[in-house]
Amino acid sequence: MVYGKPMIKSTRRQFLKRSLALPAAYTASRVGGVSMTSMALGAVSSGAAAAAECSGSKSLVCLFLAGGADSFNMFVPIGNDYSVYRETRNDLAVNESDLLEVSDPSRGSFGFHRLLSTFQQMYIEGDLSVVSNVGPLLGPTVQADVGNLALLPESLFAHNTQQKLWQNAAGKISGTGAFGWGGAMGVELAECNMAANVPGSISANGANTWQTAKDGGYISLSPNADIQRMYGFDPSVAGWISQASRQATSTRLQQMLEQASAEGQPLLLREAASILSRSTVVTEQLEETFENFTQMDWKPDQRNKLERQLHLVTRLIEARESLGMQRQLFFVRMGGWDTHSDQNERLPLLMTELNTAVDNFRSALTMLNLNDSVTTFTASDFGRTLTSNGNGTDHGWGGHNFVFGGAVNGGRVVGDIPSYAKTGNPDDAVDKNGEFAGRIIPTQSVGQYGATLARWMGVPEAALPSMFPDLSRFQTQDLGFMS
Amino acid sequence: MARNRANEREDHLHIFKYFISATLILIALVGVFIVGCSGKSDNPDESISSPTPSPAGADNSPVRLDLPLDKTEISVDNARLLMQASFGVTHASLALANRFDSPAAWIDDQMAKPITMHLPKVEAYGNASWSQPRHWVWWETAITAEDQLRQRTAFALSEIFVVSDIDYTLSNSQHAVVHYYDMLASSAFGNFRDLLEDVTLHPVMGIYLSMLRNEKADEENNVRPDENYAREIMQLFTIGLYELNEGGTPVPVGNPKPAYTQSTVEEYARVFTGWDYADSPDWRSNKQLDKISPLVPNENYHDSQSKQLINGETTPAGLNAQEDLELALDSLFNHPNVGPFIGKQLIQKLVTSNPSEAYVARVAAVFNDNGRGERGDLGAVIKAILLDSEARQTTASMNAEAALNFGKLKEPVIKAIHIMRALNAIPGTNSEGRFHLFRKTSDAADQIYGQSVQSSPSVFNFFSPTFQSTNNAAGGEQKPFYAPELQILTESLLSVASNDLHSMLYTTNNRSGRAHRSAMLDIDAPMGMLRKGRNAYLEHLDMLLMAGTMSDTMYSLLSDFINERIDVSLVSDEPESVRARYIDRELAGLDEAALEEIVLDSLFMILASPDFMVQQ
Repeated sequence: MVYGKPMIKSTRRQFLKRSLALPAAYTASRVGGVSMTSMALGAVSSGAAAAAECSGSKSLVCLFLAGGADSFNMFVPIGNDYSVYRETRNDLAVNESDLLEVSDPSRGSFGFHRLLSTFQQMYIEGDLSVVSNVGPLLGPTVQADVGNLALLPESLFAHNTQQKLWQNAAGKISGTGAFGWGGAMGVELAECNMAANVPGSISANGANTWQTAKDGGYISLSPNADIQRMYGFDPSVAGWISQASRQATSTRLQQMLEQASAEGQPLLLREAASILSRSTVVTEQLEETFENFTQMDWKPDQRNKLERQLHLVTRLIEARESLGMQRQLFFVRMGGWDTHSDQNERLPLLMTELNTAVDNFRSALTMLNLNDSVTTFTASDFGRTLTSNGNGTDHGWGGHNFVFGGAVNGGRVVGDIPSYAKTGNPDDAVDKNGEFAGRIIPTQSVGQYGATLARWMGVPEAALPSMFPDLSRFQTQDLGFMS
Repeated sequence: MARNRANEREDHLHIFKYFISATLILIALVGVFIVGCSGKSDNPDESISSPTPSPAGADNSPVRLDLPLDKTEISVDNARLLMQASFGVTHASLALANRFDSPAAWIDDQMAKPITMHLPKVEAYGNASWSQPRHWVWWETAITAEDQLRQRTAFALSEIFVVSDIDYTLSNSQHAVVHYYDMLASSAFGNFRDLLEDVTLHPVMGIYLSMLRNEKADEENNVRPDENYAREIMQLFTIGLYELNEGGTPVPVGNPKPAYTQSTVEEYARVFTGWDYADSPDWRSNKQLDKISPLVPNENYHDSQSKQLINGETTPAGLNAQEDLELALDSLFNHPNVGPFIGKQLIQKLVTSNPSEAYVARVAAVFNDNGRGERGDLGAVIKAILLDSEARQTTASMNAEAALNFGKLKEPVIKAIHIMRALNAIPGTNSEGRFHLFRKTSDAADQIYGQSVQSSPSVFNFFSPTFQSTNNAAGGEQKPFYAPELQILTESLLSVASNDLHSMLYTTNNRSGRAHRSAMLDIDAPMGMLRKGRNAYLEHLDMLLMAGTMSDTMYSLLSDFINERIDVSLVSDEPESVRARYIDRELAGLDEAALEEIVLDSLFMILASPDFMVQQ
């Protein structure tokens, strides 16, 4: 693949000029999200004295497998444990011959599903670690705790709530549960992006809890949509219309935005004005920046939605320095993992799509010499039940996750592998009759997982306890998978 | 008090009707005079026949589309009703609505209209794995169908009882997906209990949430019943996650009690076992299978042991699949959450994102009893939602806090259809009679608007009824502020959608003379209105596009914008009334190109404004 050499104009001065020229709609109002100025300058600092570590550019990508990925079939024990796994999973068990073997120095042999060959490759190269049996927890949790709702995160096992629990690490849904640990990281790291006109926290798949902060803090770009300046709002485009007409229209539209943002206007009108204002600034800024980079020689498969998202993310990482961003947070999402039925047909398709997208992403980052400063981690609603419902699986709790990139302390399995036994399984969140349910109690929490990533990004230690409320209840506060 | 308001309204209506009649006669005379004098009119379509007869005894004369819409209290109310209860105001639909005695009469008329079925039109295209025709027919129906209230309600129901052709089996069963949509439309004003059973036994839902061929436990092989449908029918289709008060708020506030537990899910998973395709020769057959007829039981796979239901009752052991199903659906249907849970979501889809608890409670009360002892009458619920004082009040007549919270962000596709309806869009010359967008065909609307009917990413729809803006989320459960549609309004999609509209309006309008695939917006009518004068024009656009809710500031911005296009130096020292008359005279005399430019710019400013994103 050939990547064009970036041709960077002196855009920095233009940024500053523009930010001074922002109309009141952008700067005066904080309602309906955050003003562009405070987003750009990170003025929403929590006031904590501790400074973020901003040196070097770093990007963190949350790869969310929506629906609840059956990670117990993506990474499988080999050897004695395989037969236990096989007996429990029955028709849904992956054949031993379909596993790509890797080993952990202290935990023995495992296999990635053969359709996850890039994951195996990264593991062998020391760029990927498997983080075993992670899930939302309030603290260390054992089987005896499972009957006591007070000891468990709120509303386990429903898709939307457990997605939220993963993304907010708060153990609850209501109140401050609306804010994500990515959003909190963005606030802490804002000082690293002082030169940026656009927030360094960008979703390539729409709204999510992970990036949500009290002042908004992230923008959403769609890989389906070209980044285009807005006709009518921006008088420099739509040249077939008379200059006078474009100028007059633009002026009035800006006035409408200002007036709609004003204090005392209906709240939803202010929301509308806020997102519309952001759209005009963000699209102008990004269109201008992208003009300075030739397109990568990577044409994503239009049918692979994840690949298209990762392609957009790569473009934004490539441009991070000219965007003035030292720290970037990305959210990408791949759906379809809720394999209640036909799992043996569906899961291979999903893994193939995932592996292809990740493979191309990794190749592009390597070519751009960015692999060492980009870390990607997986997350999913939940792992799935070890039991079958005939030809699929149901909502579980803990599941394996994968962290990869040049900065990962890779080639290891982090944390204990749970028991796969269907009788006398100490890791099982038993059903109401005390019988085997196949829902595995996590042994490592989202908070431990997130805090390890947050430290790598440069979040000050003092900020972690409020970001991850469960963290202090665990002895191990860093899972050690980042170098 | 409601009664008094109603009476008062009646009086207004009577007076207004006399006024209308008198005005119409006058206008007719003047119209004849003008046409007679000038020999031509601005608009070739200056009158149409009313497409359906108005109620008995009412005015059946053709609707005059050459006359601007006036901003009267009644007309504003009807325009707001049309925004809430249809896919948007058209000149004709508002003029017709104004002839009804009351909003209730309009609703009754709408509910009685024949159902526009999508399936016959989709089937005419052939192949059931071809996904595009389903969208073409949906857009055409939304834009042109007469049974607007039913179609609007069906769309709302399709976002509650979600199925999506993103599912790999359903992507090849498009006709069945459309049949499911028609079923929602047919049931839109029926009973909720019937709808619940129809949904449960529709093969499309059976496939989507894997209730189809769900089988009883096989302990030897460690197989348990599939929990998918059991969980989602509770969480999404009937009662929700938490216990609710009658106002739809999870209780106790701040620490709500779960409405059910994992073991409830397991019990209902056992209920929903033993259902197969109607024409299935055996449980595992892969033959051509009927995805339209309701599922049928196969008792060999049904778990006939007793189950613990949510109402505390236990089903007796030995019941068959149908008997178990009836008891289980009854138990959910009769749960006190259903009225507030479903009622609030329908309010949010049609009227306002943050209804007061009292509003939800009034609607829930109608769900619980339609006044004739029937529970679950959806027609009565829809009517209660639309006729409620909170829906009919304008923000001007609310207290300040209620006014700040009222309204909803328009769903992006509904906003697009509002525009097409208001500006009498017709299919582009190169579209083979279909309504398409500028950059994409309407089947790819999700790439512009972030949503496409029955193609949501999961059973959780495109957006959640409890999505909160980041700005207001801090209120938490004590004071949540919901903005569901905001969940899919992303920066890049907003800009693409705005640009698509811009291209459609400026470059493929009906006067552009361009052969194009994009739907063509008709700008002749607004040009005709502008010739009648600035205020008449702006008032007309206010009614047509913003249901009479345009703010004074927006009105004056537009008014100033038009003034700037006219050289007023000759009358700069004259009083405002003189200047206004002068401007109107100049507008009437402008050449077509200059007039067109003003119309395009002013239309775009309204349609691209933040104000147009909100339904008040």
